[in-house]
Amino acid sequence: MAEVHIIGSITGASGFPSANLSCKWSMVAGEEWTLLEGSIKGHTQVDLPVDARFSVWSHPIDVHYSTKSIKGWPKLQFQIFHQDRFGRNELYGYGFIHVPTTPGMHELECMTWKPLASNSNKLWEFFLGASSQLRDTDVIHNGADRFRLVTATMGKVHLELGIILRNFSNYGISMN
Amino acid sequence: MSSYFSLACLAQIESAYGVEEGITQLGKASTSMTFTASTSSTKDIPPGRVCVWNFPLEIAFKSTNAYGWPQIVFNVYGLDSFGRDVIRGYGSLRLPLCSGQYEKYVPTFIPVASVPLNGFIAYLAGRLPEFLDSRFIVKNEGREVTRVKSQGTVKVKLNIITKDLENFGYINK
Repeated sequence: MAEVHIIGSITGASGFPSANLSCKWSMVAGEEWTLLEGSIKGHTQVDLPVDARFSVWSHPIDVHYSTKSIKGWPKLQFQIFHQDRFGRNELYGYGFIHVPTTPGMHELECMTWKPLASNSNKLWEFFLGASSQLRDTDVIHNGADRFRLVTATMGKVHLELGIILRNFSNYGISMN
Repeated sequence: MSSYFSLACLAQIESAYGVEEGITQLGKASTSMTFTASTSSTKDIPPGRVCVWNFPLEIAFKSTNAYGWPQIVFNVYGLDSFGRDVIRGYGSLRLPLCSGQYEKYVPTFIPVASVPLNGFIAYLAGRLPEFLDSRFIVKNEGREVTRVKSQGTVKVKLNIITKDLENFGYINK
């Protein structure tokens, strides 16, 4: 079977309304993909940066998949949280990217958004720090069910990913 | 500032040649405000307060599996106002997967005390919070409970050569 190595790191985030961010990430792939080694989900540190323009996570990613099909090529999905001074984590953004199919090193940016609350919920948000969240996080990487969702634009997640492919040419798939 | 670096591999990759750990000299920062670490093409680093180590790295790794690809861990130490050695930054860098020349800026960070009072006591005692295991920062597990303050950058220049990956069916470029 063909194998894919996804090796790199989640560098950090920029462009969010305020710093003190952390990121919960996970990787989703189709049914034909089997995870051989590595973890496909995690939660980064909370960074309180000196330079508020960039939050540093330098969080490692090292995943080894084997696959029978190109269908369902892996995606990375992110949930960004902001930690306020009381230690409460508030949702600051959702986003996903496709893992590149080209072997080599890639510098990637993932744009994020968050659901907007109705006016009454905004009051609730302001005092309790509890923001509106998606009930079903599959919407982050699914295009099917986004109709009528009103969202606000948030910042960017920065990544550096390296891709190594193995035995794809044996199945007639050209990757470069 | 001085720096302790180590190359961390988390799987079956082992070093075939070269040292995996080292400590640089204690370099005092440049007093020239025009001296800069960045080349003209990069504008990430503002000029001034640059500390030069000019430290050589030379290592070869061998493996049959790309999983656990090596990373470099940097522990940067500096002297505080009383001349005591304190941690100034932890940073990690994943070595590039394909051959070529790379210039990387590694952001570093230090853990923040869980309670402000602890931070103040740590400052007085000259023992800032540190990670028990410096390789903690190259792992995925347990990171969510840490709060850090990012400050400073380490500049690294790397020349990478890969060998015989194609013979095992791997494509990396």
